[in-house]
Amino acid sequence: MKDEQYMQQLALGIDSALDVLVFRYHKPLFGYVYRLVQDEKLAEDLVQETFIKIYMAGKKGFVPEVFKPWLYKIATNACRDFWRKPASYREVLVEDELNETKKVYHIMDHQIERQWMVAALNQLAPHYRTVIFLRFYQDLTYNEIAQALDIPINTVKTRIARGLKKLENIIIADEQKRVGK
Amino acid sequence: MNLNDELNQLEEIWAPKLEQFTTAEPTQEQTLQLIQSIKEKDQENMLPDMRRDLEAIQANQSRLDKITQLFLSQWTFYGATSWLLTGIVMLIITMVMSENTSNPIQSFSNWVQWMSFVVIALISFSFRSKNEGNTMIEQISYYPLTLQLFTRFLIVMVYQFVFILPLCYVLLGKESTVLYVVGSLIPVFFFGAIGFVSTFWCGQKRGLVVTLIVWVGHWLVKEKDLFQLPGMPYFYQVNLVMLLVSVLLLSTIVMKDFLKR
Repeated sequence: MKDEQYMQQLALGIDSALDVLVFRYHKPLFGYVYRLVQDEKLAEDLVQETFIKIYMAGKKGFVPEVFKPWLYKIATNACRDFWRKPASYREVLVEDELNETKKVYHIMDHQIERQWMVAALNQLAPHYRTVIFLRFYQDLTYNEIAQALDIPINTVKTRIARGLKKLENIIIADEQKRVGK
Repeated sequence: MNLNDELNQLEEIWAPKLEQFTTAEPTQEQTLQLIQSIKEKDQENMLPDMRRDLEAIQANQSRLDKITQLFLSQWTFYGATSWLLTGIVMLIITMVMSENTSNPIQSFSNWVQWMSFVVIALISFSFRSKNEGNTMIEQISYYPLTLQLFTRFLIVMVYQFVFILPLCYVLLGKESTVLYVVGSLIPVFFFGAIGFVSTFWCGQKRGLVVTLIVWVGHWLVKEKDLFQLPGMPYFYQVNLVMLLVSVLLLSTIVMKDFLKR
């Protein structure tokens, strides 16, 4: 059954439809949000917030035309809201993040190259990271990305191309620094 | 090279590299916990909708329960104290009439007149605007306004009748007959109907003025024709006219409701 059909069921008051949607999208959504915010606990909260919004919308009778881009739109907006919060709040979270470095990294491959990739991606501006993550990790089409981010399809393509080029430049620059050391 | 070709090329190069950025994957237990917490949060966020709950309860009530609740809501809305005070006023009037008048028949006549005045006061009192808090307002707003007004009218009338029956015997003693009881009930019912109908059509203040004009008007009539006692020449006719006028007045409300539908 399609995601939209489950949303219709939710709109009809069938609560179990939520269970299917959460089982379908918990893992990919967590991966997407985690890559954006780089904090496991925060990612969990934002994922929960996203699903609550979906649940509430469904209960109110809203059924999106296409579920997947809508889901990522809500998740992306949740991340943006977090980024917009006062710096002091974010600093606290960064401190927490540093304290939990071990916790974060235990889930990652400890190969150095991988860490370089993560560091390089983190240096990209959020609007580049978002399109790259949606394209490469969430397997969204350009059209779906455009819908999720409310931007034209050509902007999506341009951002991906530019983002990847910038990523390449960052990695080259980092390698030069390391070689220089 | 156009943008699409460039993108295809870039994606082919970068897809394997980006695969290195793996993340933790939530376990099935975590997913189940997430589902549970979403539903719990939803319950927490759900504001108590008292109105919906109340309507659900009231919709499931039987007809008899609905009528009982309607009367109880009107009684509670204006408070038992208010209603009982009215009864005490009626009792005082009766006792004063009973003690101070040597002629029981004259006393009875005066008593009926003052009882009718109490009906007017009581109608005015029971139809006044009063704020008793949202809960009570929510409760009574379930019922149509006409039904509420009529319920209050019935409470006033029943209240009067319940008081009049024993008090009638206090005043008249052995001379009390069914005719005397009828002769005292009909004027009370007549003024009650005028009070209720005028309030319904003209609002609380104007309705009170109209009713008082009618009541004061009877003092201006030399023979005080409205309060005929058994044995008086027009006892049956006047009471019959009062009863008919009352029924006609009340039927205007039924007509309005009928036309509205």
